[in-house]
Amino acid sequence: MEKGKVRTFFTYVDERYMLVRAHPAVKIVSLVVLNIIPWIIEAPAPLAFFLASLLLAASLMKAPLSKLRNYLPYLLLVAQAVVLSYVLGSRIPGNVVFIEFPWGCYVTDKTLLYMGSVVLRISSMLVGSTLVFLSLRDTDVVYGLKSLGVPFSAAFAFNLALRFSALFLDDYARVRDAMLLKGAKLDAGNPLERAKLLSRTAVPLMVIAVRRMQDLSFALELKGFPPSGRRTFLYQFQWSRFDAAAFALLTVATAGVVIAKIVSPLLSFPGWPFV
Amino acid sequence: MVDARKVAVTAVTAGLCLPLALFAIILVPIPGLPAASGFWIPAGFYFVMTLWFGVWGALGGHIATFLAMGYFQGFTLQVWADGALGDLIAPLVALVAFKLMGARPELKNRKDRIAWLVGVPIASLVCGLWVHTVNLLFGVITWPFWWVGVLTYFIGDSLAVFIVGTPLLRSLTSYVKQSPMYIWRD
Amino acid sequence: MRAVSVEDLWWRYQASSEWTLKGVDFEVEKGEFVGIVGPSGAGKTTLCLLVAGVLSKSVKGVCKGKVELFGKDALRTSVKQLSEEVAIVLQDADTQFVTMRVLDEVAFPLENFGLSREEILERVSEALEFVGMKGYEWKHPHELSGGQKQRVAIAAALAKRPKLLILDEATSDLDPLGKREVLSVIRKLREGYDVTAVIVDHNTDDLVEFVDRVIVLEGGRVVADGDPRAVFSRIEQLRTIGIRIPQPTELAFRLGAANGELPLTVEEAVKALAPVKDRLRLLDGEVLENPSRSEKLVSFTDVTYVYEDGTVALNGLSLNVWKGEFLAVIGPNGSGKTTMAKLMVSLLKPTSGRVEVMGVDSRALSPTMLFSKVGYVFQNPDYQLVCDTVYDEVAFPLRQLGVDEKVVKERVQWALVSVGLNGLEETPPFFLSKGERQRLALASVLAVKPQLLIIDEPTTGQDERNSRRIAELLVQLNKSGVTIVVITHDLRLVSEYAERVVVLNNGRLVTAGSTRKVFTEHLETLASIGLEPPPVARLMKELVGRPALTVKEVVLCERA
Repeated sequence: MEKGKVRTFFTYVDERYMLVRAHPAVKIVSLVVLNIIPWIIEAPAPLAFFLASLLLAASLMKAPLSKLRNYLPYLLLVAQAVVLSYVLGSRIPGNVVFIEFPWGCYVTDKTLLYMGSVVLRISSMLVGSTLVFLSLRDTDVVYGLKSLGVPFSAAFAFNLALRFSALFLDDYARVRDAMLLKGAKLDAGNPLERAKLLSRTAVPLMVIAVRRMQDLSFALELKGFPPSGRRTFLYQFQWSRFDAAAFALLTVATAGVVIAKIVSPLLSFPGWPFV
Repeated sequence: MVDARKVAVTAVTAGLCLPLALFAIILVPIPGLPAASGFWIPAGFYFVMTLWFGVWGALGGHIATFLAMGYFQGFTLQVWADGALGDLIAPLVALVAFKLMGARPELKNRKDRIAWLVGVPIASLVCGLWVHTVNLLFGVITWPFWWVGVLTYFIGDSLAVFIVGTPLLRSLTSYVKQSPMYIWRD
Repeated sequence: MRAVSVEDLWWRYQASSEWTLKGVDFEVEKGEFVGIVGPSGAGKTTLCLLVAGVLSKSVKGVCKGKVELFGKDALRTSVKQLSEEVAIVLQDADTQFVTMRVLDEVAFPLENFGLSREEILERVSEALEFVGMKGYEWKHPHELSGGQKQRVAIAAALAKRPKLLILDEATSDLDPLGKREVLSVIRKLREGYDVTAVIVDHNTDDLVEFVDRVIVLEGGRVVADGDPRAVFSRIEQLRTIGIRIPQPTELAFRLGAANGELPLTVEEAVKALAPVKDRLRLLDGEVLENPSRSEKLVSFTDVTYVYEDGTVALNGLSLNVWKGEFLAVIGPNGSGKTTMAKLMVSLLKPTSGRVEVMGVDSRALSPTMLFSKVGYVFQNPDYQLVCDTVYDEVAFPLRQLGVDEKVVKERVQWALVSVGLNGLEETPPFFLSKGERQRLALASVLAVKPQLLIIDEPTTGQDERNSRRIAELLVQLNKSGVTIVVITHDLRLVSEYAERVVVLNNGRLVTAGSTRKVFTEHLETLASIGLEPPPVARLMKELVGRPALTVKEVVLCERA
C-alpha cells in the first residue's frame, strides 16, 4: 500500500480525507442526507448551488474528487436518457416553444430547465453518495448501521455478502471455463441457444452456493453467532468535534430544506413531477 | 430472530448474485438506458433462492442489486429505491403466489408449474411498475416512457427467471430440500 | 475427566434411507489427541459435526444415542453454549473466513462471547503469534495463501481457548507448503494450549506424528480404535478398507524386518531398519521413461504469460509433452502449473512465445476446437457438472459435437463402465459422493476419447481407495494410448505412476526428466521449493544413500 493512503471498502484514498476518520454513524447519516436533500429540491438553481457546495466541501475535506471521473460515462448516459425522455415525451408549458411533435408533446424553455434539474439532482446524489462510499471502511457499515439501531446480524450479512462475492466471481470464471472445455459454444449461435447454455452454468454455481451456505452457517454458529447476550465490539469510535459539527450541519441542512420546501416556492418547480 | 442460517442464506445469495449482476449490466446493456440490462441473470438465482429459503433469499438479491447497480450508477437513494427495492419485492411476489396457490418449487405437478408460469410474470410486472414509477418520481423519465420501461423490465426479468430459474428448480430442489433452511414442509 | 463420550451413536440424514453412523462408540480423555481415519463416506465429518453439537440442531435427520462433551449432553445443549468449549476447523479455508481481516477473524468469536476488549486483544495476539501469523493482522483474506488462511482459522479456534479442538481435514486442500505450515502448528498445540484434539485426515504419514490414538471408521462403524502402532499394523484390513498406510510402516511390514513394533515415522524406521540396512537393496525400477518418444503433442517455446494484474505466471518456459507419456507437473502454489494447463487447452494465449498443440499454434485455436482432442478435469469436479443426470453429464460433450444418439449411448456406457459408475445413469450428479463426482467429471471427458488428458489434482482431498482407483484408471488409459498430464502435489502418486516429471517454480522450469532421475538427483532442490518426497524416498536415502520411489522397490536380501 502506498504511503499516505488508507484502505477503504472499494479503493485506497488519501489519509487526509477528513470523512475517512469520521464516526461511522456520521458517514451513514451523510449518505442518507446527501440523497434526501437533492430529492426534496426541485428547482435547478438551488440544486446547482447544492452541488457546487458539495464539491467545495469535498475539496476542503481533501476528498478524492478524481474518482468521480469513473461515473462520468453513467452521468452522460443518464443525461442522454433524460433528454430523450423529456424531448420526446413531455408537455411542460413554457414561455418559448422550440419544437412541437405530432403526438402532442413539445419542448419549451421550461422543458430544458426541467431536464437540467433532473441531471443536477442525479449528479448531486451521485457525488454525495460516492464521496461517502469512498470513505467507508469495512468496519463502518457494521458499526454505522449498529449505531443507528440496525441489528448487528443484519449489518453483518452485508459485509459477508461482499466477502463472498469475490469467491463466487472466481467460481463463475471456473464454471465458464469448464463449459468451454466441454465444447459449449457460449459466444456463438443464436441468443436463445446461448442463453440456454449459459443457464446450465447456473446448476454448478447453485450447488456450490448451497454447500457454502451450509458450511457457513456451521462456521458462524460455532463462532458464537448470533450473539445472544451482550456483544463486545472491538473497535471503538469516539465522537470528535468534526463529527459533532458534521452531524449538526447535516441536521440543520435537512431541516432547512424541508422547511423551505414547505413554506416557500424557492425550491419548487411548478407542475412537478407529472409532466 | 436472525440466526446464523438466515444470515448465511442472505450473504451467500448476495455474494452469488453480485458478480452475475455486474456481468448482466456489462454483457447485455440496453442502448440508451443507463446501467440497465436486457437479461437480468441474477433474477434467476434470487427468485429461486427466495422460493427455497424465503425472505432471506430475497434480501440477498436486494443487496446484490444495490451493490451492482451502485457500482455503475453510484450508491444513491434512487438506485436503492428503484432497482434494489424492486428486486426485493419481485421474488417475494412470486413466493406469495406459490403460497397462495399451495404450490411447491419442485415444479413437479400442474399446480406448481402454473404457479411458476403465472407468478413470475406477475412478479416481473410488479417490479417493472415499481422501478419505473420510482424513476418517474425522481423525474428521470416521463409518462410516455414509463410504459416502455415497465415492458422492458417485464420481459428482461421474466426471460431471465424462466431461462435460468426453471432448470435450477427442476434439477436442484430435491437436493436442496435436505437443507434445514428450506422453507417448505412436505 | 472424559472429554468426549460417544455411546451407541446412530445418525441418518432425512433424505437418505441409509444410516450414516451405525452405533459408534468411543471415548476421548482430556488432553488426548485422537486421529480419525476412514474412506470417503465413512461418516467422519458427520461424526465431527455431531460431536461439536451442531449437526443435530441444524440438519434434518434422525439421531439416536448419546454424545457427551465434558459432561454436557452435546445433542441437547445449545450450540451457543457448546461453542465456548468446542472449536472446529473445516476443510474449506475460504468459507469459514467470515470477516474481512485477519484481526477481525480471530476476534470475531470472542466478540460474540462478550469478552472484554483487553482480553480479546490479548488472546488474539497470543493466538496469532502461536500460529506464526503475527504481523498479518490487517491482511485481507484474498491476500493470504490457503495455508495462511487455515492458520488463521486455527488461531480463531485457539483464541476461544476451547477444551476440544476438531480439525476436519484441515490440510486436505492445501499445497505441501500450506500443509507443512498447518502441521507445524498442530505439532506444537500441546505445548501452547491445554486442549483435547480430534483430527481427521487422509494423510496418515503426517497424522501418526502427533496423535495418541487412532480410530478407524468404515461404513459408519468403528472398526479399529487404539494406539497408532497397533492400528496400523493391521495392514491388510486397512488396505481393504481403503486407508493409506504410513509408508515406513508398510515398508517395515513388507520386509518383516522390524522386531516387535512397526515403525510409524521415517525416524523410527531408520532406527528399526538400521540393523539390516546392509541387506537392503533397491530393485532396478522399470525403465519408465520411454526414450523412443518423438511425437510432440504439445510444445512450449519460450512461453511467458502475464496476468492482467501484472503477475508473471510463466517466464520463458520451454518444454514438450510427448505423445503417449504419463507426465506429472509439480511445483508449489503459484509456480504456474495451472496456467501451463490452461495454455495447453487454449483457455489462455501466451503473452509471448509459442504454444503448439498437435502442431497448431494455440493462438489459432479455442477451447471448443480442442475439447474433443484434449480433455481437462478440474480439481473440484463440482465446477464441471452441469446436467441433471449422470447420463446427460457424460453425453453433454458428445452432443455438442453433434454425435448420433446411438453412438452417444455406446460411448456413455463405455465411459461409465471405465470409471465404475455404471448403474448410476439416472442419478443426479450432486447426489454422488466427492469421489464419484470426480470420476463422473473424468467420464464426461473420456467419452469424447481425447488424445491428451490433463487432470488437475486428482487425488487431493480423496481417500486412498479413490486415489488409487483414479491413478490406476489413468494408467490404463495411458496404456491404451492416451497421453496423461497430471498436475499434482501428491508426490506419492508421482513416484508410483508418473513416467516423467516437470518441476516448476515461480513460472520457470526448475528441472524435468524421468521420475527416478528427478527424485534421485534433485531431492534437495525439491525440498528447497517446499516439495517433500514420499517418506520411502527419504527413508532409503538415509539408509542406503539412494531414494526409492515406491515401497515395492525395496527388498531385503539374505546376506549383506
